[in-house]
Amino acid sequence: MSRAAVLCGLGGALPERIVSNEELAAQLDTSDRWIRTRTGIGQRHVVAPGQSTSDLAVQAGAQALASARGTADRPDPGVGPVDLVVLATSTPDRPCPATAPDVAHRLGLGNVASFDVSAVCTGFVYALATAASMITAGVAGRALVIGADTFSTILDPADRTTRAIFGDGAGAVVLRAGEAGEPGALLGFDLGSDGSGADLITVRAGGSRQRSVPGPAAAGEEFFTMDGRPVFTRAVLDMSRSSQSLLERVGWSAAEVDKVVAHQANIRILNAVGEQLGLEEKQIVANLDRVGNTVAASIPLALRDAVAGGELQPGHRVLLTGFGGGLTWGSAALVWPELETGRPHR
Amino acid sequence: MSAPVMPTQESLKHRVSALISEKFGLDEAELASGATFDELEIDSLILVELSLILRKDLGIVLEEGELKSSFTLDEAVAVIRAKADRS
Repeated sequence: MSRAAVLCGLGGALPERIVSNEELAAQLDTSDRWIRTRTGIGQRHVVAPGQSTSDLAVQAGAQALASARGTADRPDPGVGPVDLVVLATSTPDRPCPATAPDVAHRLGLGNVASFDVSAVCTGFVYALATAASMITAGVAGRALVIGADTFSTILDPADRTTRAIFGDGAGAVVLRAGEAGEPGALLGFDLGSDGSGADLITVRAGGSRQRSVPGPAAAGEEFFTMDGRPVFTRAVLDMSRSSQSLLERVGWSAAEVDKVVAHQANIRILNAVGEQLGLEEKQIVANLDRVGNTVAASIPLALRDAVAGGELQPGHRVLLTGFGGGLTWGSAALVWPELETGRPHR
Repeated sequence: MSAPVMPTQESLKHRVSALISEKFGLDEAELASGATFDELEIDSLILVELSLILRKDLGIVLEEGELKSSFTLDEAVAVIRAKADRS
């Protein structure tokens, strides 16, 4: 058997504060009906003042690590301590340095390799591919992979669309070295990007492009912006193409996939991907009505909710697919393993 | 997979109308009334979703914004038809 990266732990964290559609409707020209019919979102969680991406990442990471320890009757096979932390985020605590070393430190993981991955909503799939590849190559033995974002900190308070869509959160998995063929072994990845679409999902100010120009940034350029309709089309086409491409490589038909856990962008994007791939509704995992689009956290949070709700079972063939700023997209496939997970989150 | 068979103008209209009605729960009689999508209060995402379905089912690639909410069903079908004829 060849060496493979095996998923063996799962966790998630959401900030306490919930912002309902009604609360948004009281501040902006929108309504619960408008938001629900266009996005499928009913509420989202947002961080408290002073709470940051690393705070959520530490909580989710701790939960994933606890879940990876196994139980008395099914102990962890023990392939050594965590020696790698990969954090996917587009809202790091600071522009420099990366947030992952701080998270690793606060989790008490010692002087492990740690770094951030920036691929916006595809970040978790990119981070998973990076960590899995490092395990397969023998560079790491056990990795904590976290997707964490606090987009509430970069949204334009007056933008009714982005404020309705995005929520804060963190999700994490633990990967360990194992053997191909084990449940939980990552079977393959499909990754891609198209920088010609960089302006479609962006924060214009705050990087070296703006700072190299004298004078303050133009009004509003510090905020996140998204060009909704072209993003909708690209999200559907790129997640569908990426999924198809990976399914061909793995040798599964779309009908043979038990659960498709796509980036929770918008329920209508999920349904349109289902339409393109010929999926039935029961194959599509959706939790965005409760959490919104949590960017890099969305796939692991959806996994955690699907496990907690009994929708995702050991032995299920699972396809993960994401799309985000960059533009970027990526997919991963695995057979779901037995996991010890904590309580379902709110 | 065989190439999609391109329907005639009239059958394309029926197909688009049936598709909008089936997928998005809109009344075909209202669609045929000559009212614009705006007047029928169709949200703009439906036109994006419709473009994606036409691309998959008929291989017709519509650019972003080509189907406008100011169109009637007949105007939308004319744009789709013209695109199909060019591809």
